[in-house]
Amino acid sequence: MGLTPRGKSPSKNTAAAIVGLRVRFELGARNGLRRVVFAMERNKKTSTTVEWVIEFQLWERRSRATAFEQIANLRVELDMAQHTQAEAVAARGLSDEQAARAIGPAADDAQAYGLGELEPDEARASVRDIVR
Amino acid sequence: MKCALLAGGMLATALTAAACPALSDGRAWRVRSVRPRNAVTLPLVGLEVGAGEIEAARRAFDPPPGGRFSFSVTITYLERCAGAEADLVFRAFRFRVPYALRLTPVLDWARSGVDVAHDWPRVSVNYSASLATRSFRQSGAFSIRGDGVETRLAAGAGLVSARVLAVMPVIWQRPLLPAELRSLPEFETQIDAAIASAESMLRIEHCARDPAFQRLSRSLVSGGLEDACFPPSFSRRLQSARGQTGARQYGLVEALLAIAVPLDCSAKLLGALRDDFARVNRQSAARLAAAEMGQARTLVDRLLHHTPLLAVRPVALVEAVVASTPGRTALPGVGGGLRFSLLNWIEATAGYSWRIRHRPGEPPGSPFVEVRFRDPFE
Repeated sequence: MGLTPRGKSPSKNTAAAIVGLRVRFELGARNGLRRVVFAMERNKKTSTTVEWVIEFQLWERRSRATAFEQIANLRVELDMAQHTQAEAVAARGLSDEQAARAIGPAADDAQAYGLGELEPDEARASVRDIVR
Repeated sequence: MKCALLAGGMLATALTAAACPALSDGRAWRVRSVRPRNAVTLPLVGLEVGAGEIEAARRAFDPPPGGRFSFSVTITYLERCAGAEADLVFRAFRFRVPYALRLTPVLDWARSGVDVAHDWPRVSVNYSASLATRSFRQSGAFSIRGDGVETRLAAGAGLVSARVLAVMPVIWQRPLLPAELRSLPEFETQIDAAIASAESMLRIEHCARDPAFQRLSRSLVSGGLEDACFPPSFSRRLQSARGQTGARQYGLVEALLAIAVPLDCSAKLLGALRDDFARVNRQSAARLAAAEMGQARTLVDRLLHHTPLLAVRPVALVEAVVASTPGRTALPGVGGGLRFSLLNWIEATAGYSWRIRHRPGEPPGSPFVEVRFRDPFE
C-alpha cells in the first residue's frame, strides 16, 4: 500500500522538468578591486508564466590585500518584453556591450545608490538596461 | 653496508643514497617519493612543505623575467634531516641550493649542496652535489615520461640504477562529475555561457588598452566638456568615467556617448571622442581575448571531461642496479603494482618488486611505494 514495487524506483516513471533556473556570472575588474555579480533567476510563476529576476551585487576593496566589501545589492524583476533577451543571456552569456554596461554604468549607479546619491528606481533601471 | 643497500634498494635510485635525499630532488609542494630502503623497513614518509615565494626575497633578488625565486622548508624523517632551501626557477630550469641540519646523533650543519634540474614536458635531467663533513657526493638522473612508459636512469654514490615502469590503461575510474550532471544539456550550455562572459570582459579590457581609447581617455581628463547644456546624467557619467581606467572606464564611456545631448553642445569635442571610440580596434581585442581564453577553455574541458576523480591503473616494472665496485654486481628485478591517481594530480604507486637473482639470506624482493604530485593539465 503505497509502496513501490521491489526493484523499481519511483523516479523512473516521472519525467524530469526544470522548474527554475539560476545563472550567476561574476565579472572582475583586471585590477582586482571591483567585482560585479550578475545573477539571473527564472522562476515559474504560474503554469504558463515565468518571471525573470536579476540580482546585481557590487563588491569593492581598496587593495588586493583586503577582503571585498559589498557596496550594493539590487534585486530587479524584468519586464515581460525583456524575457527573450534574458533567455539569450542565460544561455549564451553576456555580450561585450552587456558586460561593459554591467561593470561600468550599472555598477556605478549601484554604487551611487549605495551611497544614497541615486534613487533606487534609477539604479534598478540601469541594472535592467544590462540585458537590453 | 653496500650489500644491504643493494639488497634492499632495488628501487632506491642512487640519489636516495645521498645523505639528505629530501633536499636533493623534487619541487616544492610535493610529497617526496617514498621508497623502503630494505624489505623489512616500513616506508618512511618525507614531507616537503613549500613556503612559497617571499616578497622580501623577491625584492632583494630581482629574478629574470619569467623567473621565480622561492624558499621552502623541508622536514623529513627518513634521514632525520631538517633543512631549508632556496630555489630560482626560470621557466623549466631550476637551480636549488639546499642547506640541511642533521638532527642526530649530533647537530651538524655540514650538509649543503647544489641541485640543478631541467624539466621539459616529458624529460627531466637532474644533477645533485652535496658536501658532507668529510666527503663529497654527487649524483645525476635522467627521466623520460611517456604516455605509458616512464624510464629513469640514475648514477651516483657508486651505483647506477635503471628502471622502466610501464603504466597500463585504466581499469577502474570514478568521473569527477556525476553522470546526472554530465547528461544535462543545460550544464554544458551554462559552462559555455560563463566562459563567453569572461571572454567578453577580456575583450573590453583589451579595447580599453587600445591606443585610440587611451587617446580618448586623455581627452576626457583634459577637460572642455563642462558645458552647461549637457543633461545632469551626462555630467555625472563624465565625472565617473574620468576617475576610472580599464573595462570600467570603457563601459562608462560607452554609456556616456550614448546619452542624447543637444546638437550644438560641445559638438566638436564630442565628435572627436566618438571618432576615437569608433577607431578602437575591436578585432585585435577579440583576437587577444580569444588567445587568453583558449587556455582557460582547454583547462575547463580537461577538468570536466577528461579528469577522473579517482583512477586505478596497473603498473609493471623492470629494473637493475649495478655497483661500480669490484665485481660489478648487477641485480635485475621485475615487479608489478597499482597506481592510484586523484584528479590526475596526486599519483600513488604501490607494488612489489621480485629480485631475479639474490644472494642467500637476502629477501626475495621488496615492496615499493611512490607518491608524487604532477601537473594535472600537462
